[in-house]
Amino acid sequence: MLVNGLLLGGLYALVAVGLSLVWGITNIINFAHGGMIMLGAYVTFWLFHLYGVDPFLSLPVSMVMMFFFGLAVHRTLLHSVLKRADFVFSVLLLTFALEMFLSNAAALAWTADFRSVTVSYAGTSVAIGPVFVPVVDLAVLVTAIVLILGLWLYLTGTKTGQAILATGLDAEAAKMMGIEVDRIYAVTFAIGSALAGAAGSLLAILTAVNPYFGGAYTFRAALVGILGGLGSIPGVLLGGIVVGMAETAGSVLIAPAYRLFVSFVLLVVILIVRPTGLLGSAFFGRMESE
Amino acid sequence: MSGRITRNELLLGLAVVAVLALAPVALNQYWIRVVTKVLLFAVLASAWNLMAGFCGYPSFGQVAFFGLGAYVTAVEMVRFHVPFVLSLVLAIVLSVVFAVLVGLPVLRLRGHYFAVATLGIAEATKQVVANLAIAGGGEGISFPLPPWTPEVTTRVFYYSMGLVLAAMLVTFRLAIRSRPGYAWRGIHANEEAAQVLGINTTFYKVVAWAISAFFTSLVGGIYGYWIGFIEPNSMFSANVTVEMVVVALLGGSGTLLGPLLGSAVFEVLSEVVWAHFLNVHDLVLAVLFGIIILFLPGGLITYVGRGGRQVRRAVS
Amino acid sequence: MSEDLLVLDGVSRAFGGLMAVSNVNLIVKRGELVGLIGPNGAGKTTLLNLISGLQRPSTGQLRFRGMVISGLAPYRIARLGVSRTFQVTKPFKGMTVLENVLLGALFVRSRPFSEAVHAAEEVLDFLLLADKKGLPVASLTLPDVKRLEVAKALAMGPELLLLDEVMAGLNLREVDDVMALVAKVNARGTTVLMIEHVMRAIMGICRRVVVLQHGVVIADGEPQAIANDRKVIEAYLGERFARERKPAGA
Repeated sequence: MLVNGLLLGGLYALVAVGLSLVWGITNIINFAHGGMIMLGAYVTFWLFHLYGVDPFLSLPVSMVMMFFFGLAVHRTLLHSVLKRADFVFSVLLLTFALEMFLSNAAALAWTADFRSVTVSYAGTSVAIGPVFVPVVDLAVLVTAIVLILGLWLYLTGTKTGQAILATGLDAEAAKMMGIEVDRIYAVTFAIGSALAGAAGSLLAILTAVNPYFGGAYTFRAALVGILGGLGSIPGVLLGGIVVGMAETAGSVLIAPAYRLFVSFVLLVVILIVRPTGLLGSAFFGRMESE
Repeated sequence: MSGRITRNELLLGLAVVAVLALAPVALNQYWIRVVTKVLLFAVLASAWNLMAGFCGYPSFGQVAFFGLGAYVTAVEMVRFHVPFVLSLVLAIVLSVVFAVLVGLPVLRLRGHYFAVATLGIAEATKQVVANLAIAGGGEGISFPLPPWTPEVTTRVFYYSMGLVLAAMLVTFRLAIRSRPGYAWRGIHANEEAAQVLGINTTFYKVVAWAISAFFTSLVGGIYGYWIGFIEPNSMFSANVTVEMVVVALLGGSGTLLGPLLGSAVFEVLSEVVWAHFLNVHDLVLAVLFGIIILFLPGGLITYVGRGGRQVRRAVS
Repeated sequence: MSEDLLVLDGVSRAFGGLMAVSNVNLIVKRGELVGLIGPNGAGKTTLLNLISGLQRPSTGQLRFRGMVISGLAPYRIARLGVSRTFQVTKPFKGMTVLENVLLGALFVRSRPFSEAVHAAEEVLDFLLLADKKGLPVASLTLPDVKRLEVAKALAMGPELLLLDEVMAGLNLREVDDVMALVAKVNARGTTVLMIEHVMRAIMGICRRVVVLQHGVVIADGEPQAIANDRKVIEAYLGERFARERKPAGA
């Protein structure tokens, strides 16, 4: 059970990191995050199904595609809305509409059937201590961690990455330092989408996907992000593990069906007790005043 | 300025009531059902509007109360053979109690955090209900058949919805022009400033939340009985959430009659145009939603008369 | 011997590792008009937040009219008789001037709606805003918005009025007007504690000045004494010094 929780946790961390990044830096909750995960999953599925491409190899493809998709979405839809005074509300609704659009369009194009990706090596397991872990699960976990680490290196190591962090800390100050905040916002959003796509690709390997499966992940992503502290990468990892463990425990101890309920209770508890998250410093988290 | 209803409003209200009351005489079954749906979503959108438009707390979890209203009523009628009206009353009581319990912690949150938490309420409630054997689990549950002929049945539900809408609008109208209404608008404009003015913001938020849950679960119970068969995916569907939000925004959030206007336009359009293209319905809904947010932030009511112009100014 | 209206007893407020307010002991007697000054970041607004209940003290206690108010919800403290304005004005958009002020009058005590409306109109008269009562707040000029802030606070009929830089951004004439207004309010019996950077106003109407620096009270006394106080001059000297220093050779 411990191992399962960890595996799930690592995956949830990846699912969450894109949302957490965008939310923490630009103060946008992308309710279409689930939709982007779904699109990434379908990219992987179709590449596998039509061309026999190994899902792990399709990862870069889905990431690049979702990067540009995110960029396009930000430039066209969100750009005009962000100027408004009540943009928090409008963006919320707009991304919600986008999520609806994506899932229904996908259902129209590809039917609502569940799709899976089963690789030839799906059945093999490897022994880790006393437990047998499927190779696929392990590979997914490793990939997820590599991606998250890669993001962290990018943010701390490259100029653009550091600009992103600076903008997240204080957009006004960043502007005065010559950073093009608008461009940074767009790029951040695009990166978030790319990461969502990656998460989707990996999810396709582990579970069956259908056009509507993304919604639950948006919620989980928000939960993990809040738990760990928005915009904090170590926080996302920690948050992912906590949620992964909690859900696994819940599903084993109570019933598998109540995983989401457990997550919800966790969310409410955290929001009341420690809204800035376990590790996060509140970028936009002025909880007492607004 | 105070809450008493003006003569003009009374006349307008009576006119609308008269039209709606006599409509079934002129319309056929199909159209009576359409208008019933208009009334249903007018209530749902208004209830959502109370939290989102007036208090500034957009909730994505109202559908939880909608579904609970239907489900609790169903379980009482099917498993315990309780008559409809009594079932409905108990269902509403339960829903409101649940709403307040869940609302107390969640209403302390603002903006994004609140929205996410309410989303969680909907999802979690759906999951729990879908796993309760007593409620039929994933397969759903059927209400006992209403004891009337089809023609009478349609009219019964039509007038029920109408009555609920009327009750709701009167309640809102009275509340909005008195203390609660001012408190809500203060909370929306600036919650901190409202607090230092002596407004018990928590109390007023919970009141709005409870009222919203009350009416939402009420129509949920009626709706369930009307369609006869309910299952978790449709009763707790995100589509219901989106539809109530679209209707409210289309008509004009933060206004009293906006949701009714929006519902009338949307539902009728929906029936006429999209019912013929069932699978694209949700897709078009999503697109419409996007268009409304981008281009019509104040809603249609901004184009209706003097009140409209005020709203338009306030929004821009 | 006038009553101790507001008592701060060893009050501190920490933010992370930073002490915004540190062991402040302060007594404001009924009827006083006290000025609160200090360099930026001294903790003045934090002090007002603590008094009005928007923040809780990390240590210490606040008492108003003998009752402990630290830890009470802001609305309760407001109903006890404390009202305040905000440095960054917070008019309620989407409502008229009258409605804004009405909110102040409507919730502090239970009274009939119409009575609250009358009270609100009276306050608007007092503040010379009566002719603008039906206008939306978005159409007000800055001085009028400042007056509206004060009107909202006054409509509550407070015993203690907290003003946060109510003169910021006003020209000389407007400052004079507000000075007269605050003096009049105090004369009518309302105790006033005002944060201000405009020294002319402080020196002009305050009979007592408290100086805060880095969250600590460094001086507390009559305006003239404060102006000559070594510590106070040093606290501000840094800024004056920097301003007077010109680049070498200029």
